[in-house]
Amino acid sequence: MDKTRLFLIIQSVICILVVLMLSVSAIRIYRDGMARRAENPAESIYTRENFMAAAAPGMLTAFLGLGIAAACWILGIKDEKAEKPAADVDIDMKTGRIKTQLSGKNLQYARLAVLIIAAVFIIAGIINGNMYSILIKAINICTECIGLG
Amino acid sequence: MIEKLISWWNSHRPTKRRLIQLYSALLYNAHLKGFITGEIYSGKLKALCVPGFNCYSCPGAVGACPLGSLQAALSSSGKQIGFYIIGILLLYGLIAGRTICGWFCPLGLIQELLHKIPTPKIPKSRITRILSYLKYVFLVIFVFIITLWYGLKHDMAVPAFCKYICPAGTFEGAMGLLSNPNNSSYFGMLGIYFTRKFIFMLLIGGLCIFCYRAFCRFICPLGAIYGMFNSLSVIGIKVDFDRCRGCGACVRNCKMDVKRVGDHECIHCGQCIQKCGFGAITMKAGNFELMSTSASDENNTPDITEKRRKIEKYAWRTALIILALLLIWVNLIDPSGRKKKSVAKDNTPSENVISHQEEISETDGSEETAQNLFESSAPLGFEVGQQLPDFTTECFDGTVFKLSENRGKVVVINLWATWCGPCVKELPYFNDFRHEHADDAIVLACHSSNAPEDVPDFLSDKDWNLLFTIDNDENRIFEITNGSGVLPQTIVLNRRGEVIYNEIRSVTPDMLEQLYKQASENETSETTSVGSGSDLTEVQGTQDNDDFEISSDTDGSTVSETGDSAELSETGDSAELSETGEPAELSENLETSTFGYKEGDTLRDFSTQCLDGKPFRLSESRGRITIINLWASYSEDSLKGLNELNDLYKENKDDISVIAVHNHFGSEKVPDNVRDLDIPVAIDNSDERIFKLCGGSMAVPRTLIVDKDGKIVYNRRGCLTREELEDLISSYVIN
Repeated sequence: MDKTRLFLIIQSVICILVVLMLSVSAIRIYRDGMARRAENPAESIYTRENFMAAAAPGMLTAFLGLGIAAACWILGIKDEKAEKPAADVDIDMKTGRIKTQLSGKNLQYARLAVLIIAAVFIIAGIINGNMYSILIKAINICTECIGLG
Repeated sequence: MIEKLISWWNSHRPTKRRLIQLYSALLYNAHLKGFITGEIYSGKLKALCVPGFNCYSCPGAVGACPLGSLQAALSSSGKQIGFYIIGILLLYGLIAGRTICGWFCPLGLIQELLHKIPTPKIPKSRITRILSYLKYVFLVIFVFIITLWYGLKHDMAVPAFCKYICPAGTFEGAMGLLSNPNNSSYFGMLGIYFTRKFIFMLLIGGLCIFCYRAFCRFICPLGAIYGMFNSLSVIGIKVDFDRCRGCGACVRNCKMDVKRVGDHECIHCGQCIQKCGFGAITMKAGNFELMSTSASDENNTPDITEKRRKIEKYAWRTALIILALLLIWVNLIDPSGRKKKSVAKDNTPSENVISHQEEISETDGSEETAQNLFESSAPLGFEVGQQLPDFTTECFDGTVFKLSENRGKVVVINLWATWCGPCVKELPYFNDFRHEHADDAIVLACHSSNAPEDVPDFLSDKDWNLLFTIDNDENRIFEITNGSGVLPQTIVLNRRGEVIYNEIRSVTPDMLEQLYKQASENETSETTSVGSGSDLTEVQGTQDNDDFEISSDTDGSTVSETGDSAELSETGDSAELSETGEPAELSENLETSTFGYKEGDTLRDFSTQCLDGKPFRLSESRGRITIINLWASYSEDSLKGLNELNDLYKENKDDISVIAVHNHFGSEKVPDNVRDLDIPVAIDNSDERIFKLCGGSMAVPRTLIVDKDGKIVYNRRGCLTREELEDLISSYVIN
């Protein structure tokens, strides 16, 4: 086994390990937290302490992986196959030729129409309060969006 | 060596595209202050959507996420059509299409950096091409169907893609906020959603290491939208078919699942330009050529090349000036981005609140009302243990809510907003809670002052019997309660107006019930000894004076105490007691006693009717050790403890007095075998008077041991074994 292949395999294993370790940590925290919550509904599932403690091994492994990645990057070790052209793909040159030929006046008209619609919609959105709604949503933390709520 | 380093740098230095990606990431997240303070930017600039995928809950974000905004608009489409966001998406699509994905998307940059980690890579194939259509499924199901369903059918804002999938939200928003020590309280909110999304983020991240832009290719709904504009977009890759020989090198070398250059999968990264040996591919903005190979440049004159370089130089300068101005504006100047009052981290209420509180105190101080008994000496503030400053607000039903007027009741304040899905979801729980504790608790649901829609109109078709109000423009209630843009938040106050719970998280019915019990048991001996506020009919004087009289008509009993001489009289269950004729020793004890339920306090007298029909009066047990067992049939521990107590009682009937009191809740379920026990068993009245006198709560069992002088020597939660009871009793008898 050559050096490049060995590095790539080690790195792959580390990456998979990091994902698994952190996932298992999250599941464990959740499971333990739910057990605590069964006794006391006000109990928090996650705390900074239990999160940091559970994530520490995974994070250390991740840093190890990053170190190896940096070494590979400096040494120029990478999967050469990834740079090769793909073989198992469909190439649609004919369709491309036809569709891309939507040019000249037709294309200009289409662009102009979309531009006008976009401008009208934006103005209508400002008038009907949609822009304000978006501002309200954006300036308050969306707990659902980020997985908190 | 230096030559080697220069050569290495030349082959590894960031490309123009990478620099633009970094620039975009910084531009979208120019609120650098947010990473230090842990707060998100709340300036008006955020009404603008950025073109790329960037969570607007990221502490650095200065613009809105187009996909999040689209979902927000769809969820409220029953009331307001999302013209603005549709117009914005049309505009961005028209200008750049998926060029945005390739050049201006921070999430794309993260994916590409992850893919740089040297591992064996999964090449594109026919299978990945098929998988690339998955993003349209995600777009239709998660962005449109689920969001519209909840919005139109349930009037709830559920941004399904953000809620269940979006790794940008988890990485930029959640991790960005949680990593800041100032946001430690947010950990309390984390549950199944976070666990699921965190694992999903890890899986996506892991996949991106092995598979080029896996999220972008297979999942991203924003890419699916922009892909529809690819053939129309002004900026993008263009093919000169006069030069094209149809070799397919462009498609084969592309890492995206394109079938042809510029199709809906093409992110216009421009890598194919170098791969085309015929100079047929260029990147253009309209007719202006942005990128080309030397082969396609062959017809370009040096003047044109020079002109292009100059434009590029000016464009970079302009971009850097814009970035610098934006950084200065959002971090230092923007008045709309500043908090109106810096109370978020400071628990001292602002001056106007204190003065209002003083005003209230002065007014109420002159009137000796029942509420005086529930006055708290705790300092003002919003943290647990502090007394929440008073405030007044007008509710939608026309009533005026004044916090200080609700002393004696458990007060629940819920901070919510119509645009907050979890808030709307939990309001029915508050409604049920309110109904269950109608006499004893009050719920104020305060909407954020940021109300894009008519809140009373939103509530009009809901059958929620809560006190609804909307905070004023100065965010007064939010300021008092330490509310923020993170919702929902619930504050629970005990009967003295002291905060026993103040957290940003969703609640459940069980949790509300537990908080209620906690609020009820968090009372001092003085307040519990006279029952709840609703029981009071007459109060004269204050406890600060030596001379006070309290009368209560709860279950017909009366307790009065005047001056130095103690006099207890109680009339209930056709029984009367006068203690004025007690021995001198007892009278002295009563004079110096502190009534209460804590160990060392003297337990106030009470009487009750036992299940066997016999009356029980605590004062009649003076001279003997009395064991009071607070229990409930729903607690198995209680039942075990009763048997132990019964065994003890049977053998020591002459030496000890025992009473087992079941709380009023679920009293109809008292098992028959308990009725057959030797110990007197009683059921507390609907006001849970004995429980309150004993400092009991719904958390049973609780055991009290009262010595021969009426002093509490033991009051702890839990049951004692017979041996433990014997040990305790013998030690008190000896003492």
